[in-house]
Amino acid sequence: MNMRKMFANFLIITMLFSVLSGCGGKTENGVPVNEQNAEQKREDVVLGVRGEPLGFDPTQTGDGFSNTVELQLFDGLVQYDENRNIVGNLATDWNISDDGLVYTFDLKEGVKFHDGTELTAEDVKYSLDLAKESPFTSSLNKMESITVLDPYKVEIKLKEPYVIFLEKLCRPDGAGIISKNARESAGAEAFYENPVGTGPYVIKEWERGSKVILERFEDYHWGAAPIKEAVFRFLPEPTTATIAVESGEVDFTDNISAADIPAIDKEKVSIYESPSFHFNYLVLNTNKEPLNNVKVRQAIAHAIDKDSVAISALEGYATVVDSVVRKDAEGYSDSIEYRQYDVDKAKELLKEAGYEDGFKLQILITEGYSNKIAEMVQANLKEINIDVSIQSIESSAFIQDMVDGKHEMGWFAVDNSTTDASQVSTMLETGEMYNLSYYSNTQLDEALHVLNSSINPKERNPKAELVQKIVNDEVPIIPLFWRDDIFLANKQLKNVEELFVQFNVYKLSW
Amino acid sequence: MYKYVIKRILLMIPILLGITLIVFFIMSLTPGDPGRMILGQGATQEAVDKLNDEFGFYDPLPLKFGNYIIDILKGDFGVSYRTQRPVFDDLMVRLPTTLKLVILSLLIGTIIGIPIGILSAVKQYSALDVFSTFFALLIASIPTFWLGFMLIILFSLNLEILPSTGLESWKGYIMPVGIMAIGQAASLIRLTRSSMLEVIRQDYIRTARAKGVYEKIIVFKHSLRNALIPIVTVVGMSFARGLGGTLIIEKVFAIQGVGTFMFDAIGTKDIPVVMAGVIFLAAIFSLCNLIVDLLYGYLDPRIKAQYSK
Amino acid sequence: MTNKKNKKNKNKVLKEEKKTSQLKEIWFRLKKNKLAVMGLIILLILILIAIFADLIVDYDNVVVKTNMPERLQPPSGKHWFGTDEFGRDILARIIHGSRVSLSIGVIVVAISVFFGCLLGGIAGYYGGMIDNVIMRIADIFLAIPAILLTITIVAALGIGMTNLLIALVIANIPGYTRLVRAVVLSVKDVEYVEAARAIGLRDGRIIFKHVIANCMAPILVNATMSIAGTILSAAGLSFIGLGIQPPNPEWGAMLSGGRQFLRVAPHMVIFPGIFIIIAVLMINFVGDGLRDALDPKLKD
Repeated sequence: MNMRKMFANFLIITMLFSVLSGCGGKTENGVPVNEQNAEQKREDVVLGVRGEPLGFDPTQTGDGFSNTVELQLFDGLVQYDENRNIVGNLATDWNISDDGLVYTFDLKEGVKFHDGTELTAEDVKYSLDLAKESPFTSSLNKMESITVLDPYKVEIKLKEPYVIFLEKLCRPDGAGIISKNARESAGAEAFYENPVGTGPYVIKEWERGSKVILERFEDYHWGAAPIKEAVFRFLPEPTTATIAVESGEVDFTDNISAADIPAIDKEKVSIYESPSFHFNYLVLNTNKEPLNNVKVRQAIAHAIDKDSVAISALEGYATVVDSVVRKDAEGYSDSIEYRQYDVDKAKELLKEAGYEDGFKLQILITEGYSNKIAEMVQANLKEINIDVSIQSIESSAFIQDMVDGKHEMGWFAVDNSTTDASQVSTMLETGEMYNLSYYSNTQLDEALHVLNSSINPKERNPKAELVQKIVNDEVPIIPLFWRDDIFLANKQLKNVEELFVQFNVYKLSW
Repeated sequence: MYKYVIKRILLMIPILLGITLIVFFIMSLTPGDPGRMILGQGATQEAVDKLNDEFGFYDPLPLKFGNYIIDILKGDFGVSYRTQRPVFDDLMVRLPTTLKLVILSLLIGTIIGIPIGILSAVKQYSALDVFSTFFALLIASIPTFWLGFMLIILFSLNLEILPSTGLESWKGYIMPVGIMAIGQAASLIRLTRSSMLEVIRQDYIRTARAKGVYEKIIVFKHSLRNALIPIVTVVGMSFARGLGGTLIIEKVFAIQGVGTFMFDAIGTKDIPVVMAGVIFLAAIFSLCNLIVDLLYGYLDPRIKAQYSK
Repeated sequence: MTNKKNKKNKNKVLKEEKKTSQLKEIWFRLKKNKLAVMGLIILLILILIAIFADLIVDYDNVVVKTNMPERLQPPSGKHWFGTDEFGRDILARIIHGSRVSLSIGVIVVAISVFFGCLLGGIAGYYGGMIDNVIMRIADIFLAIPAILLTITIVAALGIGMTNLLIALVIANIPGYTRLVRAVVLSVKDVEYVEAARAIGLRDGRIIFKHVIANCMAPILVNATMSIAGTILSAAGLSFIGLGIQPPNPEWGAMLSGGRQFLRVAPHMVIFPGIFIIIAVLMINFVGDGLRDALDPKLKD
């Protein structure tokens, strides 16, 4: 072959190569996309989640990853509809006594467990008894007793009125109903990995370290799910999870870094966002000097540029708040003058408190975006002469340290699946484990008590306003924002928005 | 010869014991306890204390350590605090993945690195030599994770020809193995080069040349054999070290291997897992050490002579 | 009496002459290696930048203060290397970061070499039980994969600069212990030690002097490489969140902080990465050059 021919061949090959790599036909799971659309609709979905479950027993697991899978395997007595109203699931009807202490549920008949047996009130009692005692579902220990009235009727007595009790029952990852028979005969340990529930999916295979494959339960009492097979792949890195969705390897992920969003090709994937119930705030330990001085706390509140904090932490994918109760929640008061970002006011207050020259302050954070929050706070407080040192601790030790009161200032977040004002009690009621400000105010406690037990808006709203006023005046915590949930999904995946209400694969279809 | 081998194997025991002790001690300094970790914040202190008691957490340190050694001798490496499964099982699930990565990268690295190293030595100061030295040093200077992310952006995102995560298909192996292999190749190039250079200057080589033996044969037969000795050592130890050193690659490419397994365990104070992992890796390290030393003895006639006395 | 003194002085003078000509020769050989020379020059520049960082850039205003309106900007006329997620100029941060990044390497290696020499010297000199114990302990530490050892120590002690240094030092000491011990052993048996002993010079001084002489070369070469390795290790540890924490502009921390912006603002990761690569590469060039220059066998 002479030189010219060789050169020509070389050119052709190079061109072919570039053309091929340029217009590579997109495939999905190895089948060319156009072929697929014409012939069959997909029945499987691949979801990228951040971590691996530990097990599948709702009352024996508390971590988010196990919870996510459990949501597919079990049902609760009640559930949310697409507007987050509470409707029946395993219960068809219910009645609440006037004093709010007794809940009676009528159960649906003919509901099948994964092993073919039928659901009765015995299973409900068994499941909720376990939940009552379990440290993983501590909010459910407000139940005092569960009684079987007849095979399809159950009565639950509470120790004290609990306004959001029904919401707690909407969560199958804590209050899911399991098969008494299956768990008792197999034993708790075996059940942990081979659960039996009434939910729309069953576990097909668990490839440790890689993925969990779920298969639809054909006899699901609400009808078989549109998605036949759901694969949960464990992708710990948000960057790789995002790329996986964009390249089609994965159909959905909730493990996204907000920072990636501007770079994502909106032609290829759909981005969904929605405010979540994840409330972020700064904790000021009132036991430590000089944070015990209310003027100091007020000064700090004025020195923080919350918008910048939200931008640096989550690229602004959050709802910044002035009040400890969110604007769209019932009980929000707009008649209070909430503290605004005002550096001069901050300096003035600090001077009045006698700390014009500032002081050293430590902020405790953990992995994740709290890092950026701390950096921002550090820069903000430097303006008023407060020298902040950042201490980052691994997550399990972090919570322990905060609970032990080792912090001066700290970042914290709670997610009680609600925006209801009553949840402030978790953060600020005297004696509460997560009252990390060690703040105690009897007026506040009384108001919170009413919010937790009464369902009468006329009674509640003034108390809610009082709570917000106290928090704004005394500043035991500085509310920052409610984080947004962001999902990334294949353009053709339908009903992804419903996953904001609860992560139910059952709602998805192509 | 056998006496030496047995002596070495016996020596491994106190070393492994020592390692266990040190890691045990370091882990005991880490804050946190298994009870709280497993049950979470919602649990009562009594529940936590009870669970801790079951795990023997409140026993005095020497007692804990003693019990642990006894368990190991029975073959029981304990149960992971986090997953409640036997540590050994969890480890074995992850091991094949890491093994594949390490062996493949070592193989490729060796195939690329050694020949180039030899050529560089033989043609010292030539363009090839300077270039490969530069290249090898350059590779050794690049942070692994940086390179990893750069490549992911290039090949997974922009060109879309390689998957970005996991090892589902053979394509998933290309980038992680590639990065590891290039690193191996780089260090082998330098090592082979300097090893060969040392040998080429030995007196007996000069003697052989004086006798008029064809130069090529000299290089390949004599130099190579002797240069191989330290290389064998390094390759052997690279294997041992590689098993425990894949953490960063695993993090970047979302691969579930021994590295992340250990890292997660250390972070969550999952002591049984950390202990088992370290002992396992150290045992392999010592074993490799032993094998390499034996090979060394076999290859180097001077040492061989010493031991046949 | 005077004879002995004269002889001593003569020896001294000869020795010193030998030393200076030795040094000159090493320097000469080093200079021949173009890569090593380039390495030295660039390293010098980096070191000067590190020392005079404050004069070049005002720390408080440019390096730490946030500037949100200008965040995540790509390289431009105003910000040569762009800005980070807080609007801070990346070039300014890199300049200040050079201090921490470079000194971590030097400090860790200096301390490790010191303790390594101490332990290795004691082990080699006294031999017997002491030697055994020290070497077994060194073996133990060497058998644990370095990454895991450093992670474990940092996890146990807590995240922070001091603990990071401690962890890296602990990981480096065993290697130097072994090295120095090997040199001491080789020197102990050499003939001229016997001869010197015959003349009457004390064991300690002999060994000490010869050990130092023989150690210098391998330690210097190894230390240079270690500095490079330590800088990379520190960066790697920062990557997994166990190293230097923000807002410290240490290069590895900048990589870690910029990691989530890889797709929108890759310059945040590219530039610090390049500087790490350059610094480490130059150190490696110098180390490689030193190794060739100090190798007594390459005397042609």
